[in-house]
Amino acid sequence: MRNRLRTNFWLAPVLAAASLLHTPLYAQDVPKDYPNRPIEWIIPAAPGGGIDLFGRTVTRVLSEQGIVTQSFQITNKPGAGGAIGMAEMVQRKGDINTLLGVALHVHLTPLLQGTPHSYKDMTPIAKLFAEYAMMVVRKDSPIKSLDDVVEAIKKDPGSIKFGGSTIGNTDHLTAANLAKVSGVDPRKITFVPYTGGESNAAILGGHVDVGMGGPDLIDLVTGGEMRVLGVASPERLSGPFAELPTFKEQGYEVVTETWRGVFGPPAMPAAGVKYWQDALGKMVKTDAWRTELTKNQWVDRFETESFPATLDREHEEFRKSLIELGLVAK
Amino acid sequence: MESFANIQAGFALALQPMYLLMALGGAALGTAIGVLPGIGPSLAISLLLPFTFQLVDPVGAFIAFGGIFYGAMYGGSTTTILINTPGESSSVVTALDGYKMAQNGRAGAALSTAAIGSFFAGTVATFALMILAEPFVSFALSFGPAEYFALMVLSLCTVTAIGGGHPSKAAFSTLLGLSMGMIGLDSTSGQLRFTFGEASLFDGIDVVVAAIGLFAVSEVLFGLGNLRRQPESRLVSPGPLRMTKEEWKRSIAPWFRGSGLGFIIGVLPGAGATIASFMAYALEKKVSRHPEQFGKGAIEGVAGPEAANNASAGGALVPLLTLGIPGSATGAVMLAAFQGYGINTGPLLLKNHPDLVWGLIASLYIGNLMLLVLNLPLVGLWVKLLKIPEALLYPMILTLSTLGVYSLNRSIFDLYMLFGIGIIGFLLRRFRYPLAPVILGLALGPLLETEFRRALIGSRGDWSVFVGSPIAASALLLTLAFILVPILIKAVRSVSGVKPQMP
Repeated sequence: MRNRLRTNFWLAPVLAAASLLHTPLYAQDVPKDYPNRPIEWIIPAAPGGGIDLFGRTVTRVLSEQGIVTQSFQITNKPGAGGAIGMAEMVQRKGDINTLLGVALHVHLTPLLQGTPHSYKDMTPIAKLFAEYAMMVVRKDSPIKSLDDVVEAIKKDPGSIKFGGSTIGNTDHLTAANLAKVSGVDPRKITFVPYTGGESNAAILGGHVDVGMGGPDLIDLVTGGEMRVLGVASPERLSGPFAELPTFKEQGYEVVTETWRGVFGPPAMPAAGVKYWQDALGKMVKTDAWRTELTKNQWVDRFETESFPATLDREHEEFRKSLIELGLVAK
Repeated sequence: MESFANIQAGFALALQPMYLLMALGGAALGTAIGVLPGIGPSLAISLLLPFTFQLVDPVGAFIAFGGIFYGAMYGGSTTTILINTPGESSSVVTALDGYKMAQNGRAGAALSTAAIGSFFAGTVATFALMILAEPFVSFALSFGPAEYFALMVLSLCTVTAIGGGHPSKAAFSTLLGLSMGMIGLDSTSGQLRFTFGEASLFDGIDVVVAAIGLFAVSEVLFGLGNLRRQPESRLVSPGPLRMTKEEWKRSIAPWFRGSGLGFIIGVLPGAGATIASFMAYALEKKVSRHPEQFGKGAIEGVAGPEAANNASAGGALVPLLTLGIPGSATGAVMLAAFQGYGINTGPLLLKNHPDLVWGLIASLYIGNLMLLVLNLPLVGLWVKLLKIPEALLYPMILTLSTLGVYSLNRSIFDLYMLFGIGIIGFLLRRFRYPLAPVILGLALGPLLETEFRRALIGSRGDWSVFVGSPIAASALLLTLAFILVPILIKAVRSVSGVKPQMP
């Protein structure tokens, strides 16, 4: 007994040192009282956009509902289409105290820009909800319907100036898919890229003919400044969107989903992933979260175990679409 | 007029003690933020957001944000004038004459003209916001890619012209800034350029990092290089604090011009405080009867730009409040705050939440007054900074710069950039290349390129788009005049001046 104790006494530090050498320092165990330190939530975008709103809303609901008592510290790491936020996350390998709230840029940014990291370099935790793109025109535009748009691009593919976020992003893909399902070469359409709210100003000012955007455009629609031609959702949305027709019901098979989800750093311990999947699972059942979904026109798409497989499938779909547009080399 | 009834109600709301306190708190915090290089108003507001959602009602929060917004503009000029460390890119141009004024013993006057000019411009802009919001929106919306491109070309050319020293050296500085602006993600095609796989460069070189490096760090390096050559300390006396009658007289017109120009530029969602301040400086130099004093401590060079950057902050609220389109980074954060409170922005904001909008406008008046009251007495305290000997001041500047830059993105790479750019700034100074055009080139380069390409994509490659609209055409014509007129004048003078000497 004594002998064994002594052996252990000597062995412990040696083993500890050996294990330190073997597994890198950052591979923390998940403590019983996890999370026992403030959680840093990285937002890979500037304050004020959809991804920012998503991160701030999720952390707020988690705290207010008492699901997570540990405090959240929000860090905005904007830039380069989310690539900077991803690069930051990859550096935090094994860190259980960091989360990243992401969107489709985990697919699109590496595909389009050749940035080094994609969703494959991080630990998927959960997909939460989706937003759908809308196609709009300014109030006094001569364009009245999707048919008008299609008729024009059938005659001359470049004649309509589409405006939306950066090239190759969901706004561009929505316009390109509309062209594709109408038998028009999607590479020949005219798409003017904007960032942030600039495209809204361009739509209102008539600098683009047809604009694309998310549900936040509803304020301008209900205010009478813009008209909606179609919503790229699989079925009609609710609330103020209930009256807005989808692309599908107008005969155009175009659905553009932008989801928001939560990732952990690479090599996040399974117990940590489980904790957050459970916490988010509890959150999506609360009334407070339901209210947020309705308010922001977010459509519930909660998904945990199947999330990695969904990501793989989507990645291939995006790659295909972008190859068709000539934006990604085969 | 309806506006005046509304603003009365707004004042009644904003004058409640609780809201007055929020305005004071915001103004004080904003000033502190402005003094610290690096931390800008947008970062400060976004840090505060999670707390405000829980603690105060929307009206109170926006009153505090308004105070921060304007306060940062005030504070930014203080370090610029005293220690040549611009806290925001919009106060870079103030360094040209403000710092020289401090060196000439007129620090008090420079700080006062900046503070009073800011107050004046803030009040004018708020007033304009109140009555001109509607017509200005349609004006702002008429700016498309071609118009923005022409506006950027105009500002780059005017700044190159005002840089002082040899025009070709100023042109070199501008081009250096433009090429630094090429680094990072190209927002049109989405391609990475000149980043060499370094993630910190994906988003380009941060303008604030470059400004602090070029001005503050190079100032220290340059000062250290000269220490041994100076027999005695180059400590400057703060001089009398008050502005002289002459200085008042020279400040008033620039305040007016700066306010008008700043407001108009601020309304445009694609421009901003930086362009506004640079253009105001160029304007002052053009209309001045003694342009040779610019760059050597002309008070107009402080009064105009400082008025302009404050007025542009007011202008930026126009598209935000009327359409929900942010005109600046701070505007974007305020939009996020609206969303966080569940307030729908857009054209219906004024209809649905008149108390909020008019309360905000009223509190901007109050906040401005508070800032003046807060800042004028502080001038006496601030100028004491000048009494600190170099041995203490230089490390202080470096500490402040390093802290400020690190707090921006919490990136060590930014610190390497800071000191690397500082060394470049030292070399530029040594060979008498102006520094301000580098910052403008860096800030405008990406926008210039993006708007240029948007215009051509939209016109399907037709170059006539740049002269197709009256605004774009006249801005480009003005640019041409800026370049050609001095050359023509010189040519005419040399022809008529040389003749008599000919045998």
